This record gives sequence, C-alpha cells and structure tokens, in this order.
Amino acid sequence: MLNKKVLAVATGVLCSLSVSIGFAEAEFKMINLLRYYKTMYNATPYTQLMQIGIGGGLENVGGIEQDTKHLSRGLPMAFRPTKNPNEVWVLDSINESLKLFKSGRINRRINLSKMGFIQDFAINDEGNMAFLNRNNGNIYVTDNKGNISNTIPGFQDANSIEFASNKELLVVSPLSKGVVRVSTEGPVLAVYEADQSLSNYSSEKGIWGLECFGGTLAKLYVRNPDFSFDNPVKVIAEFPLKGAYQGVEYKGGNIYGFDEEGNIYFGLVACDLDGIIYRDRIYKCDQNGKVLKEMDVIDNGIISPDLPRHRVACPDGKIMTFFSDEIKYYSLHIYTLK
Amino acid sequence: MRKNNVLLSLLALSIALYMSPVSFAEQEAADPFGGVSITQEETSSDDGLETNNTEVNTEAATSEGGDSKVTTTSNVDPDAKKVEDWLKDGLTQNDEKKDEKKEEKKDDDKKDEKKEEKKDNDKKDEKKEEAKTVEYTVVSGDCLSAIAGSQMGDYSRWPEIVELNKDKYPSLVSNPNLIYPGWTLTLPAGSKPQSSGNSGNSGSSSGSYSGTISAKVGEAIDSSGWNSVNPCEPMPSRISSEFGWRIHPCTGERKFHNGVDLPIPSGTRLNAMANGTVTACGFESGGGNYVRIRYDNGYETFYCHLQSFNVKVGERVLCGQEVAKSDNTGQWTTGAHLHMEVKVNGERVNPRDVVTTIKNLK
Repeated sequence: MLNKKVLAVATGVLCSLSVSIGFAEAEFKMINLLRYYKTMYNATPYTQLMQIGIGGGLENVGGIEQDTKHLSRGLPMAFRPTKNPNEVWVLDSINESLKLFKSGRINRRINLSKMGFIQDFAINDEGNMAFLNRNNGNIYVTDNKGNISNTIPGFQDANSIEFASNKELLVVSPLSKGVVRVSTEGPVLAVYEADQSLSNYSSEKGIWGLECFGGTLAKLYVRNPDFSFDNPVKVIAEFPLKGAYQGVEYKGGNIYGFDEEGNIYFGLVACDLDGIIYRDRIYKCDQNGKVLKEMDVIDNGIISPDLPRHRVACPDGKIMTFFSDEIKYYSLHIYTLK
Repeated sequence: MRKNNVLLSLLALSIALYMSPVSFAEQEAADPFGGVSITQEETSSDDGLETNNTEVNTEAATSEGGDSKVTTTSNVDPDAKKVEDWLKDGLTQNDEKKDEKKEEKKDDDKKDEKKEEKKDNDKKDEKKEEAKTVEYTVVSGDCLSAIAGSQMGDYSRWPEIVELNKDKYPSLVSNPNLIYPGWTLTLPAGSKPQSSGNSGNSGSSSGSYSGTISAKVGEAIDSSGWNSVNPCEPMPSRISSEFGWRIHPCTGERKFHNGVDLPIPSGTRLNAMANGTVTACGFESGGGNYVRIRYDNGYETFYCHLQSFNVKVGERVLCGQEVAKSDNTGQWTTGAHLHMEVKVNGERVNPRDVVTTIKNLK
C-alpha cells in the first residue's frame, strides 16, 4: 500500500513537472532559427534594401572558395551607408575591392589588391579612407580614389576602425586592451585602456561606450580625459532590465553610430541562460541620453564573429544590417525606428 | 540530582582549567584545529586568566628593564676619570675615524670624478652611436627578453626595446609578451646586428601569421602549448558534424560548415588551446555567446553557442585555462554542442588537421 502511495505521489510530481516544462517550452517561438520569448513575437522585422548576388563578377560580392581542407569565406566583411539614400559601400574583401552600390547596382569600385585581405574600412568627411588588414596589422590610409598615402603598422588582431576626425582614427585593439587613437600621419596619440564596452564611435563629448555584458543594468557612457584624470567616464543614461525574468540578463549590445543630427543609436540584447532572446531593442538617444525612440526587432542569425559590426546607423536614422544564405545572395536590410 | 551533578562537574572543570593554563596551551599546540576554537572561547569567557598572565609578563619585563638601568648607572658611577678617559679615547678614536673617512671621501670623490669622466665618455659614445640603432626583424619563437639577451647582451634590457618601438607597435606597451614575426624592431645603439641565420621569415610574406607556423600543422606541441590540452573536458568520443559541405540539420539547405561540432552537454568546461589573447567575446544572434582567441603560435580558435564565458577581450589566457562553458545558444540546433572553428594564417581550416585530440575522434 505504501509503495503504491509513493508511486502515485511520484507520478503526480513527474506529471506536474512535465506540464510545467511543456508550458515553459511553449513560451518561446523559433523565428529565423532564433528562439524568441513570447514578448518578442510582435517585434519589428527588417525590410530588404537591396540584394547582391554572390560571386566574383563586378556586380557581385563575395565568392566561396572551399574544399574540405580549407575555406576562404567569401562574405563581405563590412558595409557603410553613405549620405545618399539607398547607397552603400560594401567591402568585398575576397575580390580585393570596395564597391559602392546604389539600389543593388554598382556605381563605383576601388581596387584594394595592394593591401591584402581587408577586414574593415572607414571613410571621413573629406572622402579619404582607411583600411584595416588585421593579419599583417597594417592600416592603409588612402585618398578618396584608394591611392595609399600612408601605412600604419602594429594593429594585428584589431577589430575595427573609425575616423574620430578627418586626421585621427580610433582603433579597437584587443592587444592594446582598449581603443587606440592614432593619427593618419602615423604616430599613436593615445591608448585608452578599457574593457570591450568602449566603442570607437566618438563625438565632441568624447568616446562612447555601452556597458551591457551580464547583469540587468546597461549603461551608456562617454569617456573623455577632460572629465577627470582619475575617472574619465561619465554615465549618460542607464537602462535597467525592468521586470526581468529569472536568469535573464543583458548578453550583448553595440553602438551603431550617429545620424546626421548627432543622435546616437545602439542596441541591447537580453537572453536567459538557454539563449532564448527576451529583448533585442534598438535605441535612439540624443547626446544627453534622452531616449527619443526605441524598438524591439527580429534578427536573422548568421555566425559571423569576424565582422567588425553587424548593424550600422545610417545618416537618415535608419539602422542597416545584412544577411546572406552564404551561397547565392548577400542582402542589406533596414530597420526603421517608429 | 542530575542538575547538581552537572553543576559540580562544571565547577570541577573550571577549577582544573584555572589551575592548569599551561597544559591548556600545550593542548592547543598539539591540536591546532581544536586549540583555536578553545582559545577563542577561553579569551572571551575567561579574560581574567589572560590579563593575569600578561600582568605577570609585563612585571617581569619592567624588572628586566630596571636591571639594565642599574647596570648602566653602575658603569658610570664608580670612577669618573675612567669615564673621562674612555670619552677622550672615544673622541680620539672618532677623530681618527673622521680622518679615515675624509681620506675615503677623497678617494670616493676621485673615483666619482673618474666615473663621471667615464660616463661623459660613454654619453659621447652613445651620442655617436645613436645614429647606429640596429633594426631587428622578429622571427618565429622570438620574445623581447630573448632578443635583448642575444642582441643587447642583457635579458633584462627588454623594456628599452618597448620604449624605442612603442610608437610603431603600440600594443607592446600593454602586452610586451606578444610580438609577431615580421615586425621590424629598433634596437638601441650598440646592439649586435641581426645575423643572416635568424633574420626575417623563411619564405613567407613579412608581417603575416605564416611566419609563426613553420612546423607542419598540428604535429607537435609548440612553445605556446598548442595540442597539449583538449578543447573541452570531458571530450566526446565523436564529432557530430564535420568541417565541409553538409545539409544543414535545421534548414535542410546545403551549406559549408566552417568548423566541427562536438556533442557535449550544457555546462561542459571549454579550455584555451594554448597561451594566447582573447580577441573577441560577446553575443551575436547567430553564434550566441562566443569567444575568439588568438594564440601565440598564430592559430586562432572560435567557440560559439556557449552558455557563458569568463574572459574579456584583451585578456591573456594560458594553455588549458577554462574560458567558457558550452550550451546551445544562438542559432537553434538539434542539441547542445560546441561549434569550434580553427584559423591558420587567417583562414579557417579543418580542426581535425590541426588539433591532435580531435583528429582521432570518430
């Protein structure tokens, strides 16, 4: 009798557990091979801006040279929208080119064959460019036609570059444990030791950072040595994960850049321990940290750890991202903040 | 009755304790673990014992001090003349010593002058040789101290190399341990010129990773520790998805798989494969939580779909150090696993070809 009672109780407990687990499983849905929590079901998806075919042709980007022993992934390493609508520079590294596309058609091409495999590029207001080859550690500074005017060595494994002004670059360099300010003439001007939360986007206020790894509080901050020698960081805005579910934390986030008016754009992602996405939110803030717009978005996952950035703020305030099936097409997408 | 017995026994015990503090201390010495707790109780509950003991000790100390005062006064009192003589002797001795010191000082001054002359000469020589700084091309296996030892004759002079080259290679300041084959370092004047035997990369383009990988891929443990540890612990017995073309298990599309999938449960420990630097970590939609490490031998690993990682970008990691725990975050797959990619010379390669412990998996 006792055994039967124990069995009955155990069965009951098991049943209730399985029901609760089943209920928990039903709380998320798979969208684009990513698991989103139910609060994200109505998040905004992207719209396609243009689609470019994969291949070595002039109108194409990328190309895949693969065998079972060796792979050279052909996807473009970076993209940057211009001030003109529907116009994008695409870094077609494997074809040693920087290509300017407008509405899917090529407008211009710059030959990068002298620089090797380029991982990132930046363009300043004068149209001059900088290219990062993280394999040999060189940054190539060029005019607007791609003619090399200076080569700056010493940036092996750097992740990304941005112009801080027309004559200065900010380089995210893990080996320097932070961000390096370097003149386009060559000399290093400063090394800002910091964790990875410090970006290389800068404005008159200083260099912007987003502290969002772990925990339920994200901080948008500016770093400027003028603030204080001991504490050059000033928190501009905080973003608590209100009503957070158990185990849900900020897992990532990035600054996407500025629009023409100087507003800053960034994103924060919150997940639980299983990686279910509870929040993927894009923010638009003014330089004082006031949130002007925010929106949850649906992404399209692609494993691309080598890319310097996955989303970029356009001058008109849209957020550009990309996706590729890695075989036929490479497409650029837009999120429009409402 | 029982209460009385207990009280009596307690009384007897406290008397015994009071009478034999030394034996208690001996017990403490014999049993340090028990002793600590007992002494704590003792000091808190029975301060009288402690204070009594210390009083006795202080009294003893003062009496000793008194004795010493007596002895000093007894030396002075008996004969004042002796004291005067002794003082005079002392003074004369002091004068002699002063004379000696003066002579020593003169000698020292002369030596100093000579040294200064030498220094001046050295400075002149240095100035002459400033224009003769030596260029050194880093080769595989080099480190700053070794270069300082072989070219400058002193291993400890490596900071001079950092100072001379920090503008050219800013990462040297924060991480002097990491230099790359192909770098051209400026060595201070007086350094030996680089011999032809150890100059430049052998047959590889300067400045690329290839200079660091002179040995055949995946054959032996190198100085960075590569191939001496497993990527995860415990290791699975098989690979669930190979490097190369495959039908994606979720989409059904034919795609190229850039790494290998190791079927391991959530929370499995993941290790750094060698000494290196974390070049990226974070979260991306596709890979979930990820860690990318660049090793000192030029190889690079990428782990993704992780539960968590416990390193930061720019952090130095050691061979075998736990860097993350596995899971199934990011792009959904059929189960928890480690997606592991390996890069050599900036290009992804089949991990089976470069990781000995993976080579033999089914």
